[in-house]
Amino acid sequence: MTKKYSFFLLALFLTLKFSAQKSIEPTEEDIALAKELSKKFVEDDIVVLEYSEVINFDYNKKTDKVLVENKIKQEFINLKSRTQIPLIIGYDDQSQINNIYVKYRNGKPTNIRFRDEYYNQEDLFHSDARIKWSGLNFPLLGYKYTYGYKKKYKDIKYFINTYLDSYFPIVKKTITINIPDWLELEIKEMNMGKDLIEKQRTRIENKKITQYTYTIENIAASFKEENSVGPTHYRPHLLFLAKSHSKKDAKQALLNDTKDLYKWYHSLVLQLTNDNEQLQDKTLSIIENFDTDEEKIKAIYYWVQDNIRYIAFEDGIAGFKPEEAIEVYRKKYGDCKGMANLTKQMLIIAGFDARLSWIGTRRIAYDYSLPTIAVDNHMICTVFLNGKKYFLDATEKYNPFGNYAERIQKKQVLIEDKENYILDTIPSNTSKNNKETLVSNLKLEGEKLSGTIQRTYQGESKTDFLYNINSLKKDKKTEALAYYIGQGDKNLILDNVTISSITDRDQDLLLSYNILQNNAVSSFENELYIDIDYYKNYQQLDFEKRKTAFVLPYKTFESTSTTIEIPKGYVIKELPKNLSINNKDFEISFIYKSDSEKVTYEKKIDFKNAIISKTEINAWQEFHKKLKQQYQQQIILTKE
Amino acid sequence: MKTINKQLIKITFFIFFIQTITVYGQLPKISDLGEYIWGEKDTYTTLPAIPEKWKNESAVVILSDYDYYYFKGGKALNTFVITRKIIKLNDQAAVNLFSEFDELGQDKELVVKIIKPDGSVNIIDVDKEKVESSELESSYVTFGYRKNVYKSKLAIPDLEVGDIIDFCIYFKERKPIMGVLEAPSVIDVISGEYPIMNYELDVHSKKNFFISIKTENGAPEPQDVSPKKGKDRQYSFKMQDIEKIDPIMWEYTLLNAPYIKFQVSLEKEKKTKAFVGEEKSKIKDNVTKEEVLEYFKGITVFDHGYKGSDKYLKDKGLSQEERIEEAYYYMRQYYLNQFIEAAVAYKNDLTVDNPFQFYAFPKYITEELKFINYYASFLREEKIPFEMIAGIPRSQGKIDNLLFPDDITLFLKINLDPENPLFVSQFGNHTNFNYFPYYLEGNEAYSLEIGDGHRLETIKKVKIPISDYKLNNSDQEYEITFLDGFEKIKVSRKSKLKGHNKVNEISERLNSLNFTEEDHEKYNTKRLYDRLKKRRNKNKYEKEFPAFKEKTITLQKESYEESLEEELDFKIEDFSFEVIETGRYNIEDVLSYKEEFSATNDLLKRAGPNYLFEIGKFIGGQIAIEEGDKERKEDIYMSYPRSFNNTISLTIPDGYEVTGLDKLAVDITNETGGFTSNYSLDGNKLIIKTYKYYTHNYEPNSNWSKMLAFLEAAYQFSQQKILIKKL
Repeated sequence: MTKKYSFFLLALFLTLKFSAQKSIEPTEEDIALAKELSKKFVEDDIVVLEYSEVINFDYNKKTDKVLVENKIKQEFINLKSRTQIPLIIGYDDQSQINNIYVKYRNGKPTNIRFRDEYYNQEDLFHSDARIKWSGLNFPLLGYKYTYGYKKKYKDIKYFINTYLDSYFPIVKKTITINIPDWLELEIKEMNMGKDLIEKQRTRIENKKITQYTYTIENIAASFKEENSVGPTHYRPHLLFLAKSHSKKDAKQALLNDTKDLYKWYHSLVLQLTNDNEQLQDKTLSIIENFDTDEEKIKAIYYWVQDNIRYIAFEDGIAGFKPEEAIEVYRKKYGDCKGMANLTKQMLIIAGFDARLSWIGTRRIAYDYSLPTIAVDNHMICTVFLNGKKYFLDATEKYNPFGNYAERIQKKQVLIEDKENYILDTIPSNTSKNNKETLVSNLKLEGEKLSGTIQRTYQGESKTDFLYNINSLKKDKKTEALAYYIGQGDKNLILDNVTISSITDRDQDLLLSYNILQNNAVSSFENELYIDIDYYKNYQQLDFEKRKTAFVLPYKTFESTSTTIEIPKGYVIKELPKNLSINNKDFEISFIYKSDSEKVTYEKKIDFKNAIISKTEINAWQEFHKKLKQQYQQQIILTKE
Repeated sequence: MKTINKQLIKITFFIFFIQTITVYGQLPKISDLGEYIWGEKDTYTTLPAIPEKWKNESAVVILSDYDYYYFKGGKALNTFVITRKIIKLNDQAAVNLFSEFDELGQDKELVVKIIKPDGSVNIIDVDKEKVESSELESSYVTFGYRKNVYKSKLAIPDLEVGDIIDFCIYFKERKPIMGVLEAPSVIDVISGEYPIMNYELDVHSKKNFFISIKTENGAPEPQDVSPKKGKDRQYSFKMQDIEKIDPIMWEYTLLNAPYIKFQVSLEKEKKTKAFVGEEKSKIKDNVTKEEVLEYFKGITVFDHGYKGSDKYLKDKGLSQEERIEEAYYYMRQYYLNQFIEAAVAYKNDLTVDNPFQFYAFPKYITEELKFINYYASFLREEKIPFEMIAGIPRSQGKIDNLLFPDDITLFLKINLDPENPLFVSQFGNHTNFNYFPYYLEGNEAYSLEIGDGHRLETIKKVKIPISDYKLNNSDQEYEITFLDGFEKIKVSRKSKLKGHNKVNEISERLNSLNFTEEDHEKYNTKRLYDRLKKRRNKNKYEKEFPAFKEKTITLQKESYEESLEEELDFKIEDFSFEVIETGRYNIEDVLSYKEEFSATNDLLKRAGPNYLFEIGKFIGGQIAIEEGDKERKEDIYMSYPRSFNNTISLTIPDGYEVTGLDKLAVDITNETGGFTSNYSLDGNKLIIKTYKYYTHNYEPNSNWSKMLAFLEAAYQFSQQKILIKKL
């Protein structure tokens, strides 16, 4: 009985699958279309033929929140013989995903199962970000699927933007936004290439809706490059600013301006109890041996840097509300908000005027002229002293007092001021502050170079060095330092490596050692060929395929000076030619000098703005070719 | 139907309930874990001082304690493990490493306390501090529901440099597998990345269980600390003052580091995959050859009546040796490769119906023992004398240290001509007849032989031969030409691989799908496509299989390009790859392939009108021994003896000559191996030949300086440049 039953089930299943088979395979037209598209999108496997987003708004009386629903639909086509792609939909505590479907060409559902789990990011200890995900298999050229879902936001505050491009190139995309009359919503067009976009405004009187439709065609796939600026800097997107609603009797402000944004942030800060009694003794013990105000601030700032582990949390409202200082102190870990609050509370105990301050790092393109929660992603502490403001970011380990990390320099900062706020800008340093020098005095010993090297580090080059060396295992530091110097090259033999204090962030860092470098000189007949540049910095920085600006960790200024004694009986036959370039973002020079006794090689590399802007990508690429050739050049000595 | 379902549920529920009681009835309760570890019996309430010699270590392990518990649950053996570590954290790296714990959940419970330098103790409230980090779908279906298993992670609060962390992890819920009568074998290497003051391992077994234990390289012997009364049996291992170990090249940890291995078994039955002692009251600490014989007698069947290849071999006029070789390749096809298409189709959904249903009785062999049983049955029928060799990998130690059947690798030695025996081992997609794995070479092993019947009857110890370095050879020929006035370097490389060098690379270099047609033809097996009767399957397969194949070939080419860049250590472009000879049908045949690519001028350095060319780079990245490693104290264990030939043919551009060639003539050879090179000029071609070889798979430390001599010579050669001088 059972057997028969299963057989019947199986037969039914097969029949269903069979009948579906033919009508889901690509048609001649689909194949031709895929071939045509693959000429245009050469490097892509999948193209979205049509991508639509329909955005609607509603109001929840109970919560007094404006709700958002974004209905998304995409039609994929495969441009390669066979392709598998992941389907990933992100959401969090403030949003939910409904009605996911994936359909075959003929409209029949695929019944693909989506899994649902936390989205674990390496640099985030815990967050409320979740994903629904699955995989999709395109077995043939021209294979098509339609895929869609609804994403609902419980509060319009969290509905920030929508990107026009996507992971795959799109043939045609439409975004329809139906704004009801009771809602005041501003749509900002960001990074738009105007020629590509068609915008339409339609009034739908019977529904009391104003409909905005954006249509864009042939959009290249979004690209993620290493060391790039954040996506809001370059990806085309619509930014939504929900100003107010009039669902209730009077007009109700949402985030109409920065004041509203601050009001909300401030309301979260007011929820803190700041019961700091237990912090008292500790704070006083930190500052007890210091006399001046500046020393005391510095002591507290360094104590938080050194003693609080940075662990990132982004969990619902906790993503915006700082943790109680006493909790951060108890746990000895916290996120930026927790660390900023602990710094603030300790400074208050020490008698200073310290305030929480919101800031968007350089990853974010927006500033506080835009009232949106997407404008900032970081929190620091501002202390007021003798009419001056000092900005303290305790997440920046080994950062000296008065120095600011590149990622916050020149960025607007929103400072607490009771019911009001103060808007200021973080001062900027020049690359000279981060100077890194390397001075070599070398002589030839057969085919080897030997001599002494002295290196110094200042500013962020020093902070970076200290952070890295201090996160290494104690017993491996010497080994790691040797690796840092020699880059794993066994031709370089080191001796007498000495380093100044690796905990003092207020002094320059000094590193010195002696080297014996094998295979550095090639001798042929009467001539010696010397490869004078050991590190050949930035030789690998090839921008052949680069599309976005290249971001350096900080404004880098590297100065290298190498002197080589000319051995007796030899004279210079040829020196490489000097090379230099100076533009908006970088100034680089290679200068060779000589007299009868020595050759001097001076190299300066200055990335003035910690970035190679998109406009300078070509300039770098041109220069890079010369740079590579320069590094190939040899100094030639010949017998007298 | 409905009634049956209800009954099933009841039964499931019953079993579930019973097991829960049995399991947790004998274990410390969850809420008691802290008390269990830190209660009255804790001997670490006062901590010992850290020895002065370890003050510069990143961390010092004050206590490393493992407790393995074994229980009978239902008819199977259950295992539970409790681990406790007390660690002094001397730097930020150690604090970072021990500051977070993850994967906590029902099956992994954690208790932690922190001891501050002033002696104050802070017990962490794990339940309060942990956060949910993931949810995994359980593999168990209970009452028709698949329950999610939630996992948490914990950031340890108030953890600073100088603190001591004392934590205990309780791995609880390892589900027993019904019918398995032995627990997984355990090997615990005592030394680790931090020095250890006190090491303790306890095996909590029962007096009616069997146990085998062996300790090596200075690890402590077990002490029986069982309570006199009751069923419990406990063995304890204690060791103090253990230095840390750093992994080094050419070393097998288990040959040097102290370790303990053990296995607990429930019963002495044929089904037990363990060597079980005679008496429950005694530790089994060695496995005699008689026991090995008994064990294999129980699981080998050389009476399969194997007739599979008869038809194929019939009327081919083959010699006996040719017959057994051909039978091997036929079996490789019949029991393995003929299913490749079906496996691929199944995994990638290339047919509508399950493709395996189109094979009448699909018999495939993917297990070593099954292969041995089939092939030995064939040999027996052919009346060809053979031995079954049971060896253990050199990395696992010597055969005298054998304790677990899992460590054994089997192969057959065929004594058609006793002077020149032939070998067979379990087949893979591209393996050859007359071959056994390199990792057994040079170790002693057991040889088992049948008597007149089909049962194994005798056993003796033998030494597994070591292959000749000349036979494990890679021969590479480079043709190098400069293009566009030295802007680019065009390179063509032909590689020919033999012996272990071939075997280790063959699966990577060949795409199985390229050989299915050829094999079906050769061995008269049916293609999957021809087995598909229904149009719907044929339609889908004939469209989707070529697309799938095209994709895998593209991906493979990309991976070859990446691995070549890695091998040569410079960037390449315009890469092409072609297999010339597969070497799939005879061990003597080479695997050969041709690669063509261009390299940018990174290898050329401009020197006035001349060029320095880093020609040495073309022998591939050479092992660079760091200064510190030159003082090596350990013996040298390598995979197998091997040799590498390189021929570099450089076309000298018109109007140029080459100088600096004298450095290209090197000759360093000794008993451990060598590196030699020479050059010649033939018209406008500079031809350089190099030869590097390692004579043995093992060298005593006293030979290290000899090895260094040729390794250094090869490294120096790889750094050599020649001058291409304008005339």
